[in-house]
Amino acid sequence: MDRSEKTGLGVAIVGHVVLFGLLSASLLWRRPPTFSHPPMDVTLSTEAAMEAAAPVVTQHPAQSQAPEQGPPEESAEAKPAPLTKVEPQPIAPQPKPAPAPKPAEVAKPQPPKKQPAEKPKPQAAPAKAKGEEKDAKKPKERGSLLGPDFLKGITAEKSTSQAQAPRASKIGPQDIANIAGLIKRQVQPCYDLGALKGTSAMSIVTIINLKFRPDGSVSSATLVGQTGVDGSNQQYRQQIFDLSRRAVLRCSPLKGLPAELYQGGWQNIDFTFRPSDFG
Amino acid sequence: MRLARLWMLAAWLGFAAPALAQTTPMPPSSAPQQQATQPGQNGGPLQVEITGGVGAPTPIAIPDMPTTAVANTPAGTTDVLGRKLAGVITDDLRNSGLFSPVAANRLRPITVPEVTAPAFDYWSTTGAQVLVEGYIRANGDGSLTVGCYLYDVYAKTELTRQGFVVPPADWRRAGHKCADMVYTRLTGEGPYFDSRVVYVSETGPKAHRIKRLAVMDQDGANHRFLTNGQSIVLTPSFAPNRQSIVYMSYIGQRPAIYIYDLGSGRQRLLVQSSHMTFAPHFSPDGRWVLFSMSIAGNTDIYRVSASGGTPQRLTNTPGINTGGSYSPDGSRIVFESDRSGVQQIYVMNADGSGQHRISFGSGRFATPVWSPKGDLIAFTHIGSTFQIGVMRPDGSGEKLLTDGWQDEGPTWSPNGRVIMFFRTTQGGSGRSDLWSVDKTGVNERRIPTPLDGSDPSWGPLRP
Repeated sequence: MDRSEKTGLGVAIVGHVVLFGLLSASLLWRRPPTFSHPPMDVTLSTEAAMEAAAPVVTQHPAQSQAPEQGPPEESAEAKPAPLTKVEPQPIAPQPKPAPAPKPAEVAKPQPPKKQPAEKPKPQAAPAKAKGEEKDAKKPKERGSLLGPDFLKGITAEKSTSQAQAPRASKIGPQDIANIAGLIKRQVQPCYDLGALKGTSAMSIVTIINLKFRPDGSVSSATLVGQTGVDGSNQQYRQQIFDLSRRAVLRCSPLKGLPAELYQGGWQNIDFTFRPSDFG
Repeated sequence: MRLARLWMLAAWLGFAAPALAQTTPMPPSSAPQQQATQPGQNGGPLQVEITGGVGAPTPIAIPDMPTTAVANTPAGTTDVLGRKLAGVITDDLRNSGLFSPVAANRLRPITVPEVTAPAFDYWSTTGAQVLVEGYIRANGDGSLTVGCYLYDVYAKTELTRQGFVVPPADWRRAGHKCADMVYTRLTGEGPYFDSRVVYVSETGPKAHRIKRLAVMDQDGANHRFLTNGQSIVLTPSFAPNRQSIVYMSYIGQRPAIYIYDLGSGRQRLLVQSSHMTFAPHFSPDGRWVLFSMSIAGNTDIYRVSASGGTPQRLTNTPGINTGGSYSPDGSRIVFESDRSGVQQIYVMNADGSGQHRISFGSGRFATPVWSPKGDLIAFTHIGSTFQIGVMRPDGSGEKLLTDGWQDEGPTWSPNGRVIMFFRTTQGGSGRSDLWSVDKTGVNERRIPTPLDGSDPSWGPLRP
């Protein structure tokens, strides 16, 4: 290695060090990436109730920004329907539940007289899934922090959250949807396609009407109809009916359904069995 | 061979469940049910939709079959046969890959009266969704009667029943027939357990391989050799009447096509020719045999009457056209040809007209075989390895099913659900075995044979 090579090598090394330094420094001025869309909350409700389930809020709700008129409403807490496994967990500062309604009855919350923009709706506490509940900070999920004198409502500590997501929302007249969802979750695990998986039977959609007794057991099963039957899967019609019916029979009696919604509700159900998501 | 069905009562009894009083039979499928009603709101039924279920093997309980009275038969006492029958049924259903028999230690003995009045509440605790019960009885004339009943454990209904009268030597066939009844009722597929397979049994070093024709039940039982191994035999194919087998043999050093008669044990030369003839296949009606003949380096497909006569040429292109196989209705023929430069699959009409290529995937395609159901064509795909695959007769839906080192020579079960083939291991030993795979690509498993095996041909269902 002669002198010129050493010089060249030295210059190259110094040059690389400088370049590395410059690139590293440039990162210091970069702002960390931010989420432009806040993550969506998804609630897995495990119960049906007269009142809609409140979404489990995983973000800390933002503090109210505006003064509020009047005291917070005390709302009745929806009572868990009988036969459910999920224990409603007490949430410390939540509005007090009304005197406990009878089991199997679900108390209707009184509609709030006023609807300030930020005011959370009455929550149906038991509708929360156990697991997710642990993650949510209970003290922040309470009702409004504002009293008649809103200054009293301001806590000493600063809110840690910027979330604008509502704390709870009614899903409208969704009792039916709740029950349907609850029934679907009970029956789905028993929907075993067995030998028919992967055959042309997967395009047959079967509708079966089932009548239930008040204890959740099946009293009758009647085929309403099948669609998607063609020459290639005609041979599977009986089999797909059998295993669809068996799904309900294996996973019944149905549990956790409110008795008030039996008549005109889950007493009489049309099940649509769709073997393939594309069917 | 006598196998008479005594009775066969309604296969569709599943609707008359005591627990499910008001049920109706299946209405015509052409009644699309559009949901006009809002879910459960204006008095209509609540609507619940269940989608995309799992496809686990169906748990099934098959207790030993009781006997009405223990009696001696040439095949053993009836109580022992009752246990063995349950074993045959259990093995058949398990081997299909579509059923999961309840473990023997969870089964309990049943009595003859219980066969028609099963203890559903007990069987539901075993995890079984369906239940097979039956009985065996020795008849005064020396034959056996086997009754076979299938129940839905949760609906608490009988799904179907059949009875079989067999000579004692054929007791296994009664088991296969019972398993076929269960399989057919629960899967919607045709039966296939009561069928036989002919194949080439191989033994000895690679350079001096002894190859003999052998025939066995599809489960490997009742194995017997048909030829003594003095001449090499290849590519046997069952006739639709199950009485004869057409194959290629090197008798006198020149390969030629012979027909072996299972009844008499005799073989005869089918095609008189000074040229090499090979790859024979029967037509579905048994009247014709397709084969290939090589003349001056050019190979074409011919057909000849199963009783012999003058062959009729069906293809006439340069290169190699071989491996013809009829569609189940006999109207078309699938074959392989290298007219495009590499081996590909072609379809033509039975008279040789309308030849067109259907395979366009990468690699080469060989030994196409039309499914007895007509919906699929099985083939050997040649890429870096040999794999078994299926495609529709129009060439769409190509799917490779196996992943061995060298899998080739597919043949269909009589119901078109299972494909048997042979797998050669990598290396110099050249050992090969018979395997089967479900047409959906699951349940790959080896078929037990006493020696090595190749070139299987699955025979038709026995009556």
